[in-house]
Amino acid sequence: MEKIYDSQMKSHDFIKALFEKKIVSGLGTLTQLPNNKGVSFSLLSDAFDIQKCMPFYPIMPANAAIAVSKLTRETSPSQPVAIMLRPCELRALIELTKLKQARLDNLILISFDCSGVFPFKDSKYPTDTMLDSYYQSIKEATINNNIRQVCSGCDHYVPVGADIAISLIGRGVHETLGFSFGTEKGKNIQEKMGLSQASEIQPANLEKLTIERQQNKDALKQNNKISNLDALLDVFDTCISCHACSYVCPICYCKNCYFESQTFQYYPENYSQRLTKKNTLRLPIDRIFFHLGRLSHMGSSCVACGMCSDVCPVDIPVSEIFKAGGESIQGVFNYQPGQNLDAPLPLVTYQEKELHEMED
Amino acid sequence: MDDIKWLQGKGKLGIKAFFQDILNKGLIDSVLMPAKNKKGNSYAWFLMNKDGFLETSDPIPPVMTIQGANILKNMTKKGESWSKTAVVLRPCELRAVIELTKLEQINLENIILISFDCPGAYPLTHYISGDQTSFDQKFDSSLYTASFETERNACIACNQFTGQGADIQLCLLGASDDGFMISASSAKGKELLQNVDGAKADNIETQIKKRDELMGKLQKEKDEKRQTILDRFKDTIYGPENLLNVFSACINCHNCRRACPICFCSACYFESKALNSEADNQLNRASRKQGLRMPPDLLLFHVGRMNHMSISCVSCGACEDACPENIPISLMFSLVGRDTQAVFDYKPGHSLEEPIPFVVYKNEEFKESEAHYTKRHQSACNCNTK
Repeated sequence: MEKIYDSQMKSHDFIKALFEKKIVSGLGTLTQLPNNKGVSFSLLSDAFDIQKCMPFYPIMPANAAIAVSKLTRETSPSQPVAIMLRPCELRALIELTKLKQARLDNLILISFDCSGVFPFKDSKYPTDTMLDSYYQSIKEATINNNIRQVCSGCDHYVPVGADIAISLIGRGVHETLGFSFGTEKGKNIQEKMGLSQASEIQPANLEKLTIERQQNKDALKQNNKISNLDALLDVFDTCISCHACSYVCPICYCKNCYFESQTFQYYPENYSQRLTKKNTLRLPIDRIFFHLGRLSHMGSSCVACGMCSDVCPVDIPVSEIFKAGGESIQGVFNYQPGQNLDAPLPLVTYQEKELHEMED
Repeated sequence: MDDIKWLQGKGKLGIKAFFQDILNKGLIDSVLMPAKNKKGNSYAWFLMNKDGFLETSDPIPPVMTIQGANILKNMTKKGESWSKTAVVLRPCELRAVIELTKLEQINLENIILISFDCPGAYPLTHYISGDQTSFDQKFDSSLYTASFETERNACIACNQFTGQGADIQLCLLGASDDGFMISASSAKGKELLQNVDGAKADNIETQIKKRDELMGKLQKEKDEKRQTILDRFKDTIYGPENLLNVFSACINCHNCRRACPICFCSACYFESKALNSEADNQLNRASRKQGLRMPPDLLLFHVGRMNHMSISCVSCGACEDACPENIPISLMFSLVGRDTQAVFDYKPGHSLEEPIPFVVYKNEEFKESEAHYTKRHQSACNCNTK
């Protein structure tokens, strides 16, 4: 366990220090939008808008890994840029880096133990009461009632692999920040910030919280388990094939999705033959095939960030289903997405001779 | 002159009986229309032949799940339909079909387009998460009025609510549970209608007159309402500040464009490599603008999309139904469409013969717009262009 140091800084002081001590020349974090209209993930090149930075605000307007991928896909920044992101976003970024869709050079990854986020629908403008109760849950290490289902069943809420990890749970967002520096990069910053001799903080006891979250996860898996064809048809029955789930998914990085390709644009005779055989044909064809295909394409890397459920216009619990499905796939390959840059992606190291028992 | 017949039958049941009848007689091989989904909490599109006609089919569903033009595009993009297929569409779906046909994304050979006096629809998310039974009842009781109380922006501001331009129109406005009129305007439609047995109606002339009267009144009301709504909306979005404000909740998911029937490109420019840039370039932008929203180019996407498709925008509202942030995007595009369409005196979805302005654009036209723009641009910004 890394040591946790008391920085004696609150989040805005910390961001200010990052710029002032010339540790970074850019910062990606959640910022408040004008007229109080929610938050967006933003890139800042200075500390001028410091009051607008809201790194712990419980909404995920976009998975930050997608933003980082856009930023670094062509080149890495020539100066260090800090990125503040949730553990699931960090995992997605690690996966995207392995998939060569993002670069980590010159990035400083700052994460924190996460108490989940609110779903889009209820929380467009979360009330102060909702926010207060959320911040209270962070302090008390409990699960807030308003967070997304997939968040309440998340047991990877403590970041792994961040250069700087902030300990929030058990302390609260209004206290001075507790830092641990897990990497060489992180330790360098610790020195530059003058925190080498800072006093240590006792880590919060997260045992109870983890158990509760695991129980929620088991329930979530149980509730979203699709064990037969009827259940599969039922759960995707309202799907309008808009593919929004794939577009906001950080792992679904393909520019040209296979399921939107020519392969699935059929000739008229195909419709005619299918109709003759079935008499009734639901259109578009391949509605469920898309979901199954997507699960098989990205399930081994699914980080259960929940964006897919957030954007679904017909309220399908996509992320709950994909979390359950993804973890099954990950279990087969003994792979944990986003935990380790050096662990190769299962689809990359697949051998023809393995997993024959699955073929039967 | 349209051919008109009167069909006996109560509301949707009567309409369904008509389709079963023309299927049984072999006047068509198949019909494409919505029906309840398996769970019964929403609707989906079904292609059905005479043996597969669903009990739960609903020619006029209370919600638009997928824009019908997108379904017909899937079916006929690669060539003409092998079977003679009647397609039941809302008026806005019909207009999108006309546009996509001109854009060579739909092939109308062997397709009979059927539309109706449309009461509107519920917003998709409301419907799915609400009490469908009471929604359905309320909607069905408005079947003959071509309007009902809804919160769906595109429908509130709709003034093209009849199936004009279809091969066959179901004239429901002013009809009753006794029956409804059905009219055919194209050769295709007339040929089909010829073989349909109309019930005897002594008063078909009176019926036509009644509908025309109602139509005239309703048209005027809806025209005025649309102007008022769009003008009022314009006031709230005018200028860069307000424009940014409307789109501030946008998460750049591009679901509006994927639901849009007119946005048919399989590789969208705004998702292309053209918009990728080096990290330092983005940091410079962040520094110049005091912060850069990520992913970037949010407003560019919307303004660019307006530029690409607003001339053909049929105000169907599919974009807004698909938006996870409930941005009034259908009003935005209807407004911009109204103004761009006026410049070219173009009515999208009105006629197959009327060419799309982009296709007949001439190099030397609209010089006045250029001058106007340059002048306005100079006076509007403080840049050193003088």
